[in-house]
Amino acid sequence: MSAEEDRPGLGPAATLDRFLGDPDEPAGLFSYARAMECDEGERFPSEAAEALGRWGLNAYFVPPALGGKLPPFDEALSMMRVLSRRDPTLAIAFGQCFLAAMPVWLSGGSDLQRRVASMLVAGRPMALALTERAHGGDLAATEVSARAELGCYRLTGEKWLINNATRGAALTVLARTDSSGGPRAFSLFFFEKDRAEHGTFSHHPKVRTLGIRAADISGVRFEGARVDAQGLVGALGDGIETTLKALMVTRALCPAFSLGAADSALRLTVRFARSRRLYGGTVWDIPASRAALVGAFVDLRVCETLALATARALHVVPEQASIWSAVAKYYVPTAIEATMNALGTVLGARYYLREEVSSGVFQKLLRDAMVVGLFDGSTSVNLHAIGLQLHALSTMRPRTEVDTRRDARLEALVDAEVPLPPPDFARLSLLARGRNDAVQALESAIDASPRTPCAPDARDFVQGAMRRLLAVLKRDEDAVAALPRATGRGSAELFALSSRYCAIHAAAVCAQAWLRGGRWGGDEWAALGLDRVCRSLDPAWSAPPPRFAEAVAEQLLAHTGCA
Amino acid sequence: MNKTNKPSDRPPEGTAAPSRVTARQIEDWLIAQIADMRQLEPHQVDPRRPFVEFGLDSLAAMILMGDLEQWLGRELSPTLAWSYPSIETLARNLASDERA
Repeated sequence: MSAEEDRPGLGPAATLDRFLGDPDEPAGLFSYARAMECDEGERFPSEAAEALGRWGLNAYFVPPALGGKLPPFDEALSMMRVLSRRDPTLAIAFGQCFLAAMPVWLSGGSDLQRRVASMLVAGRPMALALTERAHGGDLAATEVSARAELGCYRLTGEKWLINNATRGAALTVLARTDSSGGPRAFSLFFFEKDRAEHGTFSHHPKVRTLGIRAADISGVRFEGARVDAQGLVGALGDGIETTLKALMVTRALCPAFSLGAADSALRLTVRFARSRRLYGGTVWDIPASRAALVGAFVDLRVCETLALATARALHVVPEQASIWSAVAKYYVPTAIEATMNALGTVLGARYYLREEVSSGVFQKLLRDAMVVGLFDGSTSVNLHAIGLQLHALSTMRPRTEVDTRRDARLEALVDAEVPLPPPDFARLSLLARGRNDAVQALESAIDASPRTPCAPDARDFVQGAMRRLLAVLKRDEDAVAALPRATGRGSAELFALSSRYCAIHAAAVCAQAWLRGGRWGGDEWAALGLDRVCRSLDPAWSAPPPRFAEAVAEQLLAHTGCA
Repeated sequence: MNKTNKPSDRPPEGTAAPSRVTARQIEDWLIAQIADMRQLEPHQVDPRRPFVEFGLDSLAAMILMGDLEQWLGRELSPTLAWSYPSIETLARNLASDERA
């Protein structure tokens, strides 16, 4: 039973989930066994990718105005999650196509948009090409250049560590268009290999990686390679601004890769725990193991709640997306890595094997999940971006009056039944200007009444946790005010403050979901979720009543089909 | 000479710009901000030099625009300092905007 099946009607995520089938069926095209073969052989899963192409997955990356089926972003997140459950390598390869297209959806001319849409619908892969060997994610240090000629541009230089660079038919390339430097010196180009002259570009060989081993992580060298004038995405000099806005959207979706991997890891570990006999009982009977499994399930639900709200935030509060996306992109992959390591201790020796339980896929899921915190705005990049805005966030938070529009926004953010408006990308802002609805609502949430009747002990516990989190937040706001103004890379203390802000934001979102009737019902998961965040911020935080874990343990068995 | 960067040394927050602000006033405000950030004396901040020379990368320049719009009392594009990358050009552009 999966979360999607709770929803009335079948959206594309549920339909895709059924199409992909049971990954434990070894003969299935999307089975763990097949994914393991490709991983062991470092061979891209082409058959599975082609089948997804025939199913029509790429149409979901194209906005409806261009003839595509791009759904609301929470549904898009769910689609990538169900795919990542089977194979994060495959999910990330398809996600990269959306990443390449996103700048074109934001700023491309209509001819270019139609061109990219038709390529995607025809199943042709593409890549976003930002990074270079010498300077990683530092976009303003980009050396690949684009020289203007009559009717075209000529690209020179090398993009490295680019997913889909070799199998891709096209790349969206960030290139320097002004030698005088500064953030307006760069532009984006949609480079099509078919339209460049033979010999003007070549591919860097596949780079071997710890995880997503079967992925096409490679690069492209340009030597005066031609891009039509029409291939310029937006205006000259808009490259970095467009890239940052596109990344705000994609960072909100990247948690899907982590969630899928963790969900699969959790299911197979619970199944193992229920069947594996040790010391006269099953692993599930061992209190520490059961506690670890319940903890992992709670972590997954917290991350899922945060990720879904963040995807919905792109529709509801795009002005705040620079904070929401950065928080989710930092918090979810980081939390999920820890969760998966905890699951590994329950699996014991079998976590270390590349065979046995579910074809040995656990270690692959773990290694694959480790890439999510690295790409497209690494952990450090996101913490830095949040850190820079902490002063504005701290200043604004206490000043905000409660307004009924905020209440409606919070409703839309956490309640999947509330219809979402179409995304208005023009409202995406690189600065949140101190606004964050979830954290700003924390104080008023403490004494608010949950919509559905709630057991008193759970309610008391949740409210106590929120009070504790508010106290930490206020103390941190004072610390932010006392810091010297940060320029450049920011201090270690600012990073720590940003990291805590992310945890408080995650908890504040879960509190809203609990107040307004969480997706999964019941109060215990929210109580335990807030408990875990409080504990991470304050080791002296007191333990919740044992019955919460018992209730969530039953829910876990139901979720994994192991009741 | 570096001065200490205690909160009490900072330009007062919450002070608003005058209702018709001149380029000179915007320049002075920017100079004061950057002097504070980089622990310089105001006379050490040359308004003709690009922001990047004062250690303001593209993100920090955006944050400065956020502070500037608070002071001016009107919304600015976060990337304004990218298009007008020195104190002098930014102040001149904004002041002529104010007069329009």
